[in-house]
Amino acid sequence: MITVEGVTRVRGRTRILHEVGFTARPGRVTGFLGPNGAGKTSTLRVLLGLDRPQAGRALIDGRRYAELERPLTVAGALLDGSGAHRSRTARAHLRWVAASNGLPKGRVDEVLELVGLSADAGKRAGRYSLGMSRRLGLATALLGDPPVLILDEPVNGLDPAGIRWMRTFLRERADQGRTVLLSSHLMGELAETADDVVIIDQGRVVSAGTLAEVVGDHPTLEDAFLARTASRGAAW
Amino acid sequence: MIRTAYAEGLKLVTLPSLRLTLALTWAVVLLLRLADPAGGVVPYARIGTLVLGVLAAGHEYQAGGQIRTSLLAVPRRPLLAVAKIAALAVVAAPFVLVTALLAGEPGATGGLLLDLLLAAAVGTVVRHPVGATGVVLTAYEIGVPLIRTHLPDVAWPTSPVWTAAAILISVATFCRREA
Amino acid sequence: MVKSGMVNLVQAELRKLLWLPTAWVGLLLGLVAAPALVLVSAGGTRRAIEEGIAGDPSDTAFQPLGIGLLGALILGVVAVSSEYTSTGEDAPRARQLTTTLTAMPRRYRLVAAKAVALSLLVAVQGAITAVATLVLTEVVLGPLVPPADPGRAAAAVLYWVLLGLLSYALTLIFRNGIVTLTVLIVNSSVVSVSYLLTKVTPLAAYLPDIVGAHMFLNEVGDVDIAPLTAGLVMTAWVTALLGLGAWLFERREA
Repeated sequence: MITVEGVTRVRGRTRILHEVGFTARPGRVTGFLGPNGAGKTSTLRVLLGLDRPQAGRALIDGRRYAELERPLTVAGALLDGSGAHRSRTARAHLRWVAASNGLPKGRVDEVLELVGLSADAGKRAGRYSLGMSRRLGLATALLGDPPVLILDEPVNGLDPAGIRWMRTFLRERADQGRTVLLSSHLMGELAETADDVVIIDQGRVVSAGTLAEVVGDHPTLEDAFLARTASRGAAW
Repeated sequence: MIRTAYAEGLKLVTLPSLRLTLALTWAVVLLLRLADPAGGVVPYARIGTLVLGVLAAGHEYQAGGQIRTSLLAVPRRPLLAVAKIAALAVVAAPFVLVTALLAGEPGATGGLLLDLLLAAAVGTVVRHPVGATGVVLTAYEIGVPLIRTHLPDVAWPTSPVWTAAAILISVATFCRREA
Repeated sequence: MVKSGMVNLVQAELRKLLWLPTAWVGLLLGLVAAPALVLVSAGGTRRAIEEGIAGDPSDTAFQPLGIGLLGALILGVVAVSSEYTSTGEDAPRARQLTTTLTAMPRRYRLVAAKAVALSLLVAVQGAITAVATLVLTEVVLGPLVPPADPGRAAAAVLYWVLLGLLSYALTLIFRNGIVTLTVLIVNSSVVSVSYLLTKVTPLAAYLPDIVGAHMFLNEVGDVDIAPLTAGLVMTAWVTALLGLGAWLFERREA
């Protein structure tokens, strides 16, 4: 369960997030939708304790991420890139991450197998293709077998087969009772995957609810999205 | 704490650039002993340990965004900062000892280790390994000798004081800023 | 057409360099360090001259210029290393270089354009620093040192440009700014490995970072090399290393 309440974040003179609030529930895939620069990544970074908000709070199962003792067993996160140093092998990368949270070594090979990187585990992260980097990032998120998954644009850079794989994978996680929160600016993709939708625009949540509620009378999610973010969508 | 420090140690021993720097340092130290310079070989060995320190801390900020993974795995920053220093000191100590032995002055181990930790603190603050290398080497090899020559009468703090100050500043910076 | 193409390339490279914060660190360091050293060392230098242990007095005004060289070294390094820095986290192999090579696919011309841009920048920086340093020395030490010879000042600026190009060439070869910076900073310091080598073989006096100093200083180490010879040897080194760097750059994958 993810609870975001009244999160406001200011950087310099710009207000990046303005009283952002929503929840993501267990057993459901929650899509976090917004145009580029709307505040999706900023919200996720606050949720993960990487950035500090000026007001409000973002909790995972009732606790701040930064207070968690072994955070990877509570929430797994995929941000942009692999998060691995270029010259380290995928296996060496996952080893230290596992060690930092007291996870057994065996987990490393399990997650490598899970994301389909077993054969390339000895390669340096810098030699990975974009798709492989994303898989390595996902493997890192899955190490602690967490009940909560937070993913920033998870299908970015994946090929059609990879996108379908990711969709099925996240669906399965939600069906197991986990909380899945993913951000995206791809409407079609999200309409296929999400149960609930939160739309953010210019740092404010403009719509939230089940997919059906958010779509409302509009023919598609894309129409609903464009109608609610019209302030900027018109620029194109 | 032990867990976090162990993970930081794993990071250090699996980083190719550190091994390469160490190998180069040892090779240069051995070669220079043949030349037998007047001031001993330790000043040259120090260059290697300084670069090691910068890389050990600065590699988090190189391409790939590893620092985010580190902060996601250990979001308590003071804990992570202290674990990093402890792991670096423990992992580096035997290698620095070998370096000092190769240089023919085992007594220099402590001083070299302090220099290495100071360089790591600079690497953490600067977050840009190339820039930090420039800063540290310029300060050590050009700035300090110049100051010693031109202002010989000023009583400067000793090496442990400098290192402690640098570490304090780096920990404070690391805990305060956003990743 | 071809000519204006090259001018455009150089302009683009100049602009790229001047947009880098690290390049500004190099520029400012180069500008400030030598004059600052004149002020800091004034007392000691005056004493040394009066006691007659200062060596060739005509070198006095030029010696501080050696430290400002760091700026030229940094500029040479960042001109290359900035290209190899990853630009986006979600594209592990995307670097500015990819964009640069798409915009200017002819790599030899790219290397040349960067070299010209770098030389211009370092020359301007060197000229300003040299004038500032010499004037300041004149003010601070006055009659103790002979008036500076403009020819030697020009040689010092040329030495700066050549060292900037040397650092650029080495970074092209190593593709790593840390290696270049370490080698060049160490060699311009009291623990210079090149200088140590001159104790082993006098031939080491012809290594690029030592021979260049003979261009504008009378007393460097134990070997006497005429300024013109020094300049030619230094230029030969820089040309050879730049050639090697450019050749490697042409052959390697981006």
